[in-house]
Amino acid sequence: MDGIHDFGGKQGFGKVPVGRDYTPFHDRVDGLSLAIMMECTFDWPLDRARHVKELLPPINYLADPYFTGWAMTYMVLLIESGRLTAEEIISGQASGDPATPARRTLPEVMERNRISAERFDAPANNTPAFGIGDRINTAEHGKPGHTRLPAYARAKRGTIVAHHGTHVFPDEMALRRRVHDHLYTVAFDARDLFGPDGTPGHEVLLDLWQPYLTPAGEHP
Amino acid sequence: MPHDDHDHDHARDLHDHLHTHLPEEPALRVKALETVLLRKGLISAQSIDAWIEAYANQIGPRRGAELVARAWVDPDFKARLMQDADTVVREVGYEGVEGGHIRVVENTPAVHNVIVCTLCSCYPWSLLGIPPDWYKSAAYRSRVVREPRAVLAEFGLVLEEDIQLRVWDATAELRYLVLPERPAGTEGLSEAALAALVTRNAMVGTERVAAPAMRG
Repeated sequence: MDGIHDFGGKQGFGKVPVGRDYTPFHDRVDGLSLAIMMECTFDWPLDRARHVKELLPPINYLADPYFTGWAMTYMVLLIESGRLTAEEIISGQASGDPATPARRTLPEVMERNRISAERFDAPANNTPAFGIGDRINTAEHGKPGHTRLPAYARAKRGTIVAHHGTHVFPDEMALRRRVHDHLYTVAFDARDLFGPDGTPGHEVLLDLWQPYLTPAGEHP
Repeated sequence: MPHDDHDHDHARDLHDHLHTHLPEEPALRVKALETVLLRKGLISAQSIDAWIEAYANQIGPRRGAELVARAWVDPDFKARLMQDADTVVREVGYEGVEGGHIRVVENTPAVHNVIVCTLCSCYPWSLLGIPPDWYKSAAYRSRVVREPRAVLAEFGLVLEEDIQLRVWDATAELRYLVLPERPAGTEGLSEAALAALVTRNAMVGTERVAAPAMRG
């Protein structure tokens, strides 16, 4: 989807807020949002969550605090999964008998975090179409729904520099279909991506799935 | 339920509905969700506090810095970290959310690496903690792929003209960590003292590790 989230190469966002002091959470509400993400992730795939965040109203995507965007995303995910209704969130009134939630201690959440490392790779059941050093073209057009080929890297020529086996294909994962495809790191010369804004010796590397790529043909 | 057809996703309507009927103030919207989750018994106040403590004070860049310092002093460890970071990370117990697939890229006098996620804010949480504001900012996400030298200069890092610049856009589930260069003048330092020099930004590639300040 050509959504507001696809920032790469856009201009006009001004200077990077470099000098702002680091804090993981600006206030308790940021931390609360993080805790909700950690405690209330249920049966949706990760890329469905990413896509629901991409679907935030653009003005909110740009203006709201980072963690508020996730909290709003979790409202939608929890409604989609049938665990809450919009009416309950809006009214603050919960229907039905309450469940008994876990009351986790710090060591328990640290261990829960550790075991939540998610792997997305799987043994390949087909041969890769590309090898290291191959020249490829990226898909010419965007597509509806969730995808991980940024607009700035569409219809560009690049070089395969690594092959990572097969990983869950996010475009399908967002639709709740778990299929795997070959994942490569593709290097692009910045001059091919950004024309005169690119400088020699500047490469941009993206991890891209095989369906985004076609052979570049004979012209190097 | 969501429509999975490509033309329209019901989540977009749900967002509008919620944003229309909940308070405009972002904090009040999050608290509305907290209220109903507590009342439904889907979360406890104790677990909320534990998660905040975990990510405020426990899971942070000291983990990544420990790996960097060990790589600086132990060539075998460095070789394993570069080839199979996932195994190394599991051995030290630093795997976790946003840390299932770790790749380490090495800065050298000839090559400088910098990490971004232009599509969201992917970041190796399990090694560096919650990303800083600048990493999540629209300015960084949009600009660092296109004009990295100008962005790095805003961090005070002016790169030599002839250095190879590699900007990694984390578009998949691989989470990148920069292995910075060990600063000159640190030959006598212990691993722990070296780790104390390594900053969060250096492991994203927006700074170099500075040598310890000269005394006296």
